[in-house]
Formats: sequence, C-alpha cells, structure tokens
Amino acid sequence: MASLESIINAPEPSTNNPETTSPDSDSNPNKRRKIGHRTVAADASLNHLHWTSQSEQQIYSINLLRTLRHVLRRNPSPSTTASKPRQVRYAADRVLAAAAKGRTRWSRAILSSPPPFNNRRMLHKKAPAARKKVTGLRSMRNGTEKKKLPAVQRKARVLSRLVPGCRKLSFPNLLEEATDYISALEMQVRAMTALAELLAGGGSPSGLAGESLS
Amino acid sequence: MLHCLNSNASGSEMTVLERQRATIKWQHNNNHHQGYSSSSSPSPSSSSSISLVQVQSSSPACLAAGAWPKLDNNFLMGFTSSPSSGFPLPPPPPPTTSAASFDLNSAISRTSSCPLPSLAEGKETTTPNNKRKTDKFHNTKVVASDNDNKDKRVKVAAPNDSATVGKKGTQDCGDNSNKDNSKVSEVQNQKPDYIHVRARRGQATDSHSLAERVRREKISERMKFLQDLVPGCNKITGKAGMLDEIINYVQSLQRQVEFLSMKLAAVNPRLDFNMDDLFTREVFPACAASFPAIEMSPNMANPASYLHFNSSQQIDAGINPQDISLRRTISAPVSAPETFLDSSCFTQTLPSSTWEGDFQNLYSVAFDQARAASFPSQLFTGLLEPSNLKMEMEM
Repeated sequence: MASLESIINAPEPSTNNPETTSPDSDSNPNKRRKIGHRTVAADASLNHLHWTSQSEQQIYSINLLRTLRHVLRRNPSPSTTASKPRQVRYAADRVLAAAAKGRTRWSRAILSSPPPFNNRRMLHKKAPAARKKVTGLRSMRNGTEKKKLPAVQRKARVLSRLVPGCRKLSFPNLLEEATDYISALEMQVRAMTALAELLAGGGSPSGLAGESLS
Repeated sequence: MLHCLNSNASGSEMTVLERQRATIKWQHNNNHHQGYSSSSSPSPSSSSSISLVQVQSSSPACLAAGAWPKLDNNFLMGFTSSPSSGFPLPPPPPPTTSAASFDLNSAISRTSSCPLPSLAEGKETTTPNNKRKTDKFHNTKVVASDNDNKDKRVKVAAPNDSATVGKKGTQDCGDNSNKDNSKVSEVQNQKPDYIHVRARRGQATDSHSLAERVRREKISERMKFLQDLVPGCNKITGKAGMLDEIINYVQSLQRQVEFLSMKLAAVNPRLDFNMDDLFTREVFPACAASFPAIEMSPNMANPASYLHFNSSQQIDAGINPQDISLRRTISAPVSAPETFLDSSCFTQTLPSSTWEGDFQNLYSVAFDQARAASFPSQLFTGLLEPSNLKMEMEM
C-alpha cells in the first residue's frame, strides 16, 4: 500500500504556495496589504480549485472504495445495525480529511478524532454537560432580561460548532476554514453520490456487462 | 590593539585615550548610517568594551564605508518589507554581550582595528559635529535613537522605536509601529512579511481604525468567497444573513453525507460479489473478441496497456508517471471503446487471482507500462462511468 500512498499524494494539483507571491506586494505604493491578507485570496481560490478538480475526486473515490472494503471486512454483519452507517461516515470523513493533506484545521481535527464508539456511555456524557450550562445561564439571568450576543457572533459560534476543530478560532480564520470545508464537503457529496449510484445501480452484473460490450 | 594604533600613528601627539575616543567617535559616525548602534548600546563604559564596540561596528563599517551615505535615502517612510531594498550589506553580526565573547573580540580587535586609525584621521573633521560626550554609553544611546527613526529593523531598543516613530506624521509608521514592536523579533529571524497600510483619502488615520479597517476588509473578502461558494447567497447582503445561509448549507451538506453513508453501508455487502461477478462476465466475452485488437496502436488504450504485460511502451517524459498510473486505474475499464477492453482483459483472464492482489503489484505494473501520450482526455469525464468504478473495485 505504500506505493499507492505515494501515488495518491504525489499528483498534487497545480497549486503553488501562495507565499511566493509576496514580493509583488511592494509594487503598489498606495495600498499595500499584509502578505497574509493576499494569500487569503490566493488560498481561497486555490482551495476551491483543489476540491473541484476531477483528479482529486477520483483519488478520493479510490481511497473511499478501499476503506469501504476494509470496513466491510471488519464488519460483515447485516446492514441493519446503526453503527455501520456511522462507521462508513467516519471512514468517508477521514478519507476526505486525508485528501486535504493536513493543510487545514478541520482536516487535522477530523484525523485526530477517535473512531465512533458504539456504546451508550458517550451519548450520556454529553447531555449532562449541556444541561448544566443551560441552567447556569438561566439562574444568572433571572433578574435581568436575557441578553443575547450580537447576532453575528451567535451565528459564528454555531458555524464554529459545525466545522470540526474550529471552536476557538477567530472570525476571519473561521470563515477561511469554512470555505475550504464547504468545498471539500461538496466534493465528498459528489463522489459518494456517484459511488452509491454505481454500487446500487450496478447491482445486476449482466446489465453492466451488457453496458460494457455495447 | 594599542600597539597597532601606536604603530600607525603618524607622529601626532595624541595619547592613546584620545585616539581611542576619536576612533569611537568615528564609529559612532558610522553607526549613524549603519543603524547597528544597538549592538554597542549595552556595552559598559570600560576600556575593554570600547575595543568591543570598535570591533563590532568596525567590521561591517570597513566593508562598505563609502556606501553608507546612500542608505539614508532609503530609510524613508516608504520603507518596504523586503530586506533587499535598502540593505546592500549582509546582516550585522549579532550583538554579543557575554564576557567570553569580549575576549574573542578583543583578540580580533588587534587585526581589525588597524585600518581604523587611517579612516579615523580622515573623518576626524566630521566628528566635532557629533556629540562630544565622554560617556560612550549615552552617546551610543542618543545615536541609537536617531538611527531608529530611519531604521525599522533594529532588534534591540524597541522602546526607542515607539517613541521616535510616533513623532512622524505619516500613518504607515504609526500604524505599523505597534505591529513592528510585536513582530520585530521575528522580523529579524525570517523574511519580514508585514506591509504598510496607508489610510485612504478622507479616512481616519488613527492606528486603531486602520487596523480595524484591515480586519474588516479581511473578513469581507472571505465572505465574498463564501458567497461565491454557497448557492443562493448573491441576494443576501450583510453578515448575519449570509452566515445563516452558510450554516444552512453546511448542515445540508453534512446531512447529505450522512444519508449517502447510510446508502453506501447498505450497498456494501455486495461489493465483493459485484467485483468477482463483473470481472468474470467482462472478461470471458472479451476473450472471444478479435485478436487484432491486441496490437497496441497509439490510440489504444491505456486501459489496455494497464493490463497488458508484453507491451513495450515507454513512459512519456512529459507526463508525470504517477499521474499516469492514477489515470490508468481510472481508465482501465473504459467502457466506451469496448474493443480496448477486449484486448485488455484477455491477457489477464488466467491470473484472475492477481486482481485481488496488492495495489502495489498492480501499480508497479502500471508504472512500467505507462503510456502517457495516448490517454484520451475523454477518460476524464465528470462522472465516473459505471464500468470504471467496477474495475476499480478490483484494486
């Protein structure tokens, strides 16, 4: 499998390091921005191109198939259990994060998250913490009216919870991570729909053979 | 060092101390231009330190004493971040304050300070213009503060920066001084990557508002990218509405992934079955195909060559072999030109077990027989064709 990894990792999409564009910043005397600022623009567009390229999607599909086979081998039980979709989802997310090559925060967070544990214990652990937080808030604010954060900040918080690994990120960085995450998710959805369609639609081998021969 | 000086004395009656003072003043003169006076500022006012001071600032000074005056022009407000703009000299030697290095420097001073007296004599006429304090430390410190006006790269004497830079009327000094002080240490270590931000006409020049404007523009730029990405965001203006849309979109994407994973989990058990069955079905009809398909014309597949062991294809130099192998796997079962498939499959019918073998074996084969030029671009259609994936499963 080592050679496969090298193959997959090697054909990097033609995204150059945006930091090399830094010397250009001196040209405009009137309005110069931080180099970091410029690379944001370059970064965002590059990331978008990275996730929309065909080769990237195909690489992802290949890897996803491999991992799905592993999952299948590990868990040959009938698909009535609820854990299987979760494992599939977990595997798909991990493959997606691996495709990001660790350049983004959310990918690193996904890769470092533990596999789904099928015990009920984990679910119980989350609930009390949430409940405690809510009651604390209520007791504090009983006298005064409920003071809310500005709408933008509230939404930024929600978004930070959605994007993995971005809870304590500043707003502009959060937006950047969200951009990359959305592109990656779109690619994941595309690849998985194609895969599901093929696997489900191509169930009859005869149909497929006929297709290939026609 | 004293001997050196005495030997070079042109018969004048100057005492050693006076000569030392003269050399120091000459050095201070140079330090004006160098901006490296910070290296000398922490030195104590002992005679040994004098030699140290001379040594430290003398070595770069000797190198390009003539080039220094030109640098003053570059030390203006439009000082950019690229270090190559104003510094023809190599970076200064790191200021050494340890006692151990003093000895070394004093040893060096014997050799390096020799050319000093000749220069010092030439510059003595200018030294009266400088401060004539005998306290070297204060002298250097005052000089340092002058230098810091022009030089933003001074590592030490950061407090001087804010004090003197604040005097300037321009904005970019003002709003960058805070950034400079915080970044001055890392600026020295790596290529400085701050850029001056200039206030536009009719806008506040306060450092705070400038920084905030930068921050706002950063955020708005990223929001614009998100707007392009998220469908239906074109009509929405304002951060709150857009954030709502973004959140909804991310949630919908995650739900889709969840649904698809469920679907895939349901489909999975048939994966192996599909592969074996597919392979057998595809291969055997192909065996009956015509043999003329065997010959590898340039237009022939690549998918064929993927499986074809006795082909003598060369890897095209122009294309990355890794790309080729990748394309191979994808294009291997190309369905549109099924003749390719015929020729591709039949050679592999017998060792069907190798299909289930390692990736490694398959890819090494693919490497050897990569045929780059003949890859038709149509193999890279947007959606994976059914047969493509079926064959992929055999990986």
